[in-house]
Amino acid sequence: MWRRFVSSREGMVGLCLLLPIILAALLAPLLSPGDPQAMVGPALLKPFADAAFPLGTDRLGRSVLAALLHGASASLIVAAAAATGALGLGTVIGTVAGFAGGRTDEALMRLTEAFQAVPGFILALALVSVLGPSLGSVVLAITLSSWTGPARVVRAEILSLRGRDFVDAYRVLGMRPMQIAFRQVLPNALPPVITLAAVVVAAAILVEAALSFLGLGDPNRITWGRMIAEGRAVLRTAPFLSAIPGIAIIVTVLAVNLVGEGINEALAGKRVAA
Amino acid sequence: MIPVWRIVGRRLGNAVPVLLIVAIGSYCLLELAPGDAVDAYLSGSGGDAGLVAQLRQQWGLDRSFATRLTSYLLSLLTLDFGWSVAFSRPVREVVLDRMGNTLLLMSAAVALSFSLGTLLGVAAGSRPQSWRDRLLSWLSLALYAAPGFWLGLMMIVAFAVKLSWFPLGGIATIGEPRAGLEHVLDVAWHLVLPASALGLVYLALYLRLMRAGMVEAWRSDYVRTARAKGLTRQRIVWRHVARNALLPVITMLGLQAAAMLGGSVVVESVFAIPGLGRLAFEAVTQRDVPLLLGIVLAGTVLVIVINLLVDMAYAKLDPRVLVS
Repeated sequence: MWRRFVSSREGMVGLCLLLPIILAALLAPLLSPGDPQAMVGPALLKPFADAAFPLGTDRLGRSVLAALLHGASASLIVAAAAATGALGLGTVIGTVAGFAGGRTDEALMRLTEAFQAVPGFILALALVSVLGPSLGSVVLAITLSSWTGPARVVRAEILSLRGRDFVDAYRVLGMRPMQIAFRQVLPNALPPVITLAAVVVAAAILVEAALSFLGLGDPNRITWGRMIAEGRAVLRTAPFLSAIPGIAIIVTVLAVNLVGEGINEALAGKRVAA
Repeated sequence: MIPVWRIVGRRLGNAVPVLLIVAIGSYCLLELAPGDAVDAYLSGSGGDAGLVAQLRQQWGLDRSFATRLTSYLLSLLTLDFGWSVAFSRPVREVVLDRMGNTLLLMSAAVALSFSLGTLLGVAAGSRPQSWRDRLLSWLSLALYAAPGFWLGLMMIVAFAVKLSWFPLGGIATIGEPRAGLEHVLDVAWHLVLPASALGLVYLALYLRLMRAGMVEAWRSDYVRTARAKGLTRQRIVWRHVARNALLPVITMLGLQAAAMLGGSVVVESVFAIPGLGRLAFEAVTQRDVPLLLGIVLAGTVLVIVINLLVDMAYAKLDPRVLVS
């Protein structure tokens, strides 16, 4: 599995991009100690002009590099938490719907369709407005607007697996249906979900950026979306303030997508081999 | 053969419970919001306890939750979406006013991303693994990773501030009412940047899908047959490979409708376009719950209708779905 991943060029490029970003997020307090929102230098310093502020400073004289490093952790924490939530919720609902069948399936699928028909970002807006802007409400909002994809994929996998002989065998052994579903069938249905994980993480990073760009992110945390929004006020004179965090978002999402393709290739190879 | 209208009927039948779930779900969700319409209404002016109680009674907010939910659902049946506190107008009017601009922006973005995306997809997929294919694939991956609002801001810097080719924002030139063709051209000129910002992200999606479909189609038997018949490469690419690769792209068009509507919220805010998306943001910042509910429902109906249209187009292109 790992060998196949390594042999995929996309996957390795993605990993080489993603690892430094994760490291930067983890080591942000060490790499740039202190409050990233503190005013530390002259205002609106251009990038590469001063070695102390390699990426320049913003309107209030805050270091862009420090904000970028600290923003990485906010972005990745939200994305990882929301993706875990969405995949977890989607897997549970997809498994129950696919294995139970009948009315339960019908009801859960209507629920999934309802969530799919509501524009996810508007749902996220509504949720954040109800719960107030915080890291937790952003995570919940992204979770609730992105669990439907995983749910449908898991249900389809479970449907194709539940007629197999090994399911009947466990039934004869006297296992309860949901026990069979979650302990025996689900593990076999997981590969496509793992592939989907990268898609969900990438989407979560973009939604978080959009929410905090609109000023609906956690007010106490510096995020890339918020940096873009703050740079907007001086877009004419200092476009680099909005450009730099945007490039960080692109590189991160690109890296996640590439890693996803690598995983996809590794799993596809395994399936062909099996 | 099942006629197309049977599919339409079945789809609409499914839409009823979906809309009911969305209506009840979002009503319950927004009920959890701190403060009610009276608080929002009086937040600017203030008012004594007597006025608050009087308004609550007038607007029916003193009744139980179940009564209010039932009366809301019943009024939805008569297409009454309630009263917008922020705009002091019926929600339906406010939403319909703004819907046009959003539909315009979305159609322009879809037209751009779909046509350019499939064309570039054909260019990439007609010779898989060539340098042209590699270049386009990497470019599309990078675009697909970009936030639409950021692309919009960067386009404003380049094409509106530096080059002054296009306006900074808005949907039409203010203060100069134009008529007829001149107005149409003015709106089109204003839409170029926002539609590109919204559309470029999805362009990548269609490009990749089209390319993947074409790579798949090259391996199929009918392409080998076409080659054996001695058809030109050009004809094989367009008539045999591209045509079959188009089907999954059409499906994606419907699947992306909801995402695109969400994307237009931010793009409309960047370009100051008075559309449904910016209205949603305004409803959130002004705590206008009935308006937000109306927007969620209108957006849902829009997504359902778009998917229905896509299904019908698909049935036209691939009659196989009508059998079975």
